[in-house]
Amino acid sequence: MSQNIEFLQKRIFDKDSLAATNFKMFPGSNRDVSAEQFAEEINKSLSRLESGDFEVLDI
Amino acid sequence: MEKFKELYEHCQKIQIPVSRKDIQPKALSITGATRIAAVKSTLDTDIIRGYFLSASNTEARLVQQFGCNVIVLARSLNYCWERFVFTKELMHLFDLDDEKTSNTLELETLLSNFEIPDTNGSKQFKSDIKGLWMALACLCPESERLKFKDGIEKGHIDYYGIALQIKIPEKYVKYYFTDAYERIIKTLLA
Repeated sequence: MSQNIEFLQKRIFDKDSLAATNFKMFPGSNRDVSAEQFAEEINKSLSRLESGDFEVLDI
Repeated sequence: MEKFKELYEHCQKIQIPVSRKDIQPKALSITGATRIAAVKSTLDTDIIRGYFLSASNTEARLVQQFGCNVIVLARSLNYCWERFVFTKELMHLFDLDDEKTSNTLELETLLSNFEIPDTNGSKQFKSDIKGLWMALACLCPESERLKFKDGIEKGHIDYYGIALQIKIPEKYVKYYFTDAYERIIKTLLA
């Protein structure tokens, strides 16, 4: 299994990590993205959120 | 899909453009979710425009920051894309237990299904697609859709004009006027 996918799986599902119960996504504009690239971008996103790179959305 | 039917019927009474302020509280009350956070952050929109995460470890930093349910959207999305991706991800509050991506194998399969779209994809993948149609149904009441359909047939309006009125990406407007739309929404409301 690819490194990013394995890291994402642990990060999302480990009981002492997020212990996720659901994950869904909206893909981007490039149709040639691999599962590994999706996982890499989600991992980066979770790290960015943890480092404070976010604004609360005003709907 | 009784719960979705309730949301759908609620959306029929809302004027266009349907506001997320009208959809979100109703989705929460119907599903019994106490809260959902929505944030904008850096995401490469070539790869992913947004995602929905439901997590249960209250000791985790992200859960402490956002609560158990969070929608993450790419900061670079324009207003229409932001509305659409948000609404689609919100629909995952309605996921049935067996549609949820809740273990490592389901996640790996979901990502693989997006890499190689498979008409016989996993329940989790099909739920991701279903969310898109549910969002479309919420963002355009049926009475308005039928008026637009008539306008298109008469040559009075085009997809761009409709996109401007209902505030969704023009790319998705054509979905409303396909046989698939009526078939899928009928199934979702059955």
